[in-house]
Amino acid sequence: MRPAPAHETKLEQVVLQPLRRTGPGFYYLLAGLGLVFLAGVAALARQWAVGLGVTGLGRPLYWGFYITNFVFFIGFSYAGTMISAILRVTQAEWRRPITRIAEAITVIALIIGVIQIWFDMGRPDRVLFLFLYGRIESPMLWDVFCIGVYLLSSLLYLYLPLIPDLAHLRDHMLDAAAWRRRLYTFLSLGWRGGAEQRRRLEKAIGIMAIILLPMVVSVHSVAAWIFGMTMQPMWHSTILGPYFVVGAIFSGIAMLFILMSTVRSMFHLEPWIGEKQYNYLGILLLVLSAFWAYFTLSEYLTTGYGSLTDEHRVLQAVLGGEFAPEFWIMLAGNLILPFAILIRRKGRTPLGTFIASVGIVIGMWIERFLIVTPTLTRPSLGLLPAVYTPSLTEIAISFGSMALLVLSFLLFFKVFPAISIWEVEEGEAVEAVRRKARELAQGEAVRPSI
Amino acid sequence: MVHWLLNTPTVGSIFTILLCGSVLLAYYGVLRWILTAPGDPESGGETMSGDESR
Amino acid sequence: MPRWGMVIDLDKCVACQSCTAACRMENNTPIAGANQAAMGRAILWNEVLPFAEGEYPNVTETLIPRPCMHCDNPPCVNVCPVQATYQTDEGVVLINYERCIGCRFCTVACPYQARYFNWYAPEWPAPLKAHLNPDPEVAPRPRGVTEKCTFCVQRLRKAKEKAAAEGRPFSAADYVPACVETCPAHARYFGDLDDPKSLVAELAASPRAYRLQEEMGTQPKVYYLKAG
Repeated sequence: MRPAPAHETKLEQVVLQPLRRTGPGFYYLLAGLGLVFLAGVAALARQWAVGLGVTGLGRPLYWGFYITNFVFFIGFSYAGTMISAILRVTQAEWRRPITRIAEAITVIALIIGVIQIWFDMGRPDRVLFLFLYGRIESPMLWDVFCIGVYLLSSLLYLYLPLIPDLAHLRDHMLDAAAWRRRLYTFLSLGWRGGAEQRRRLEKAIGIMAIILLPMVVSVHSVAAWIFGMTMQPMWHSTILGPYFVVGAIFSGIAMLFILMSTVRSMFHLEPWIGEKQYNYLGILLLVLSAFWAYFTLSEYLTTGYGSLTDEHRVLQAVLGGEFAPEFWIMLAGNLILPFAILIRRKGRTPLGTFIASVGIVIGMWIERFLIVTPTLTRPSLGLLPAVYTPSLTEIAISFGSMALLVLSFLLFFKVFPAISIWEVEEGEAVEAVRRKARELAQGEAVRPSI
Repeated sequence: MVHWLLNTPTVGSIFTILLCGSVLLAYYGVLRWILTAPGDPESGGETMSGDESR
Repeated sequence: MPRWGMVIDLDKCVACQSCTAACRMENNTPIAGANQAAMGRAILWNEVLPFAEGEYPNVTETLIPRPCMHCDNPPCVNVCPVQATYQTDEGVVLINYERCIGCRFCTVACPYQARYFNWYAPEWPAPLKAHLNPDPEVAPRPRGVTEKCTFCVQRLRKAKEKAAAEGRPFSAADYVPACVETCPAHARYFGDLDDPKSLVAELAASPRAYRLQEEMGTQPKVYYLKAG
């Protein structure tokens, strides 16, 4: 290996800084999140020791926070692929500094989403039965293989663009701790960055981006079909699959905003993640908010206009019953707040989008909750409505999972660069060539007039 | 009818394992394909982000 | 092959819940206690459910005993990811407690709320615990699995064993679930729905006969005879 070059570009200096040095503020944050996470672990340990009785569930409310969280977290895993893959396929140049962050959210959120099912199981010790005795006919198994394939694919999609950066770290972070150097050497797989190697890498990334798009749709449709395939009122609906997909992209971009802004200000990435990203993603968020509202309207209007008793009971619980406060918070967070803030260009600032995104993430969690719970309080048999009071265990595990998401995200970027260095540099090179070409063209256009 | 097939336990597992297995294998192949690219591994000896784009 | 089915005459049923108690003793369902029962955690394979109709002040409440419907097209069997719940050749829907992973997909998919979940390890007060049914087929279920009415399959097994021991062919009349045997109002009938001469087949064809949520297409094998 060669000694580190005397000078690095500004991009490398800034992006590699968090990998080299960790301030006290980061440790405080880590400790705070760690505490919430440990509270969740303690609650889970108790649940596994005593039984699912420690939750607030019962008959007919067999599912609650865990299943809501499952849908919610898997929704985030859309961020990566949708943003990164769509923008890569359409060759949007402004994607370059944010793809890494989006792809990391995908993998982390997917794993945290999947383990929610495990928390929900009465016999967590039998989780492997899903892989030993799986029946194709069950929608639960569709999830197992869709999510399995998607997890593998998004891991590769995160990993491929990391390889050149890992090789860079291997060659230039010679002062790093031994475990880091060993990790970088191992993970960079002897990458040398020859022209052909690089061409193949870019081709593979391009193909993966295209493959991931249908997979992404499949994963969330299948999550929706867990509900849609039953005959319970408001679940047994054809819109559920697309509705979940739209909601997932929506919440995924919101989560991307939150984590992107966090990383940006923590690691001082302002020169690369700036106006352009906030503006364009802000518009995308607005469009998705409108889509989401349209889907919600379709679902509620169709149900409300008819007079099917079972469905009406559920709808009335949401619109005017005990779930009404949640419903209005959801509308405020998912529709009113984003439109109020993001409709003007001046609103699409880091602070504006951050506030709107927090509203959307809360609103989307409630949306998931309003899909799962009201139906279960009023299932089709027509008994007296049940009441769901989530227990402390469920709340602790939910917050613990959220803390785990942020925690793994921050730790990931303590080990791997938050911005894809080689892609941004490539983008800068492309931009430089274009500028030069423009200058030359202008020069030619100007010359005759002289 | 194929219903018995859908209804039999472990058929789904076999399906999942075959699917995930072949996907894993394909992705391993992609990685190998990238890393065994012919070219100039010795001449540069430097990552592309190291010098090529500068 | 018989197709076991049940008929409940709501004109005769007095909602005394003897069936519920008999079922409990026969099938060793655990005692949840008042607090847990209020959270909807009582395990009653054969539950007498209240249905309210109309609006105040003109409300009528109907009490309907609800065992498992043993649907011919059971939604619970369809959604189970590991085939822990399955249908026998004789149309009875059963659960393999050794296989169940406790995901509760079946409990959610069942339109009749007939499936129950073991939120805690099963418990009984000492006097009851001393009188559990010793049949291994109804051994207490472990925590974290689903359970429900089985039409007392252990009784079917015993009836067949008895007939074999006595050297005579097994007849449908040998087998009757605990709730049917106990019903003091003789409101319940049990037998082979496929045998046109059987009483249940005859009653199931009566103009008073109906099934719960027939529109779901689940084809329940429990018929009710309308009251009034």
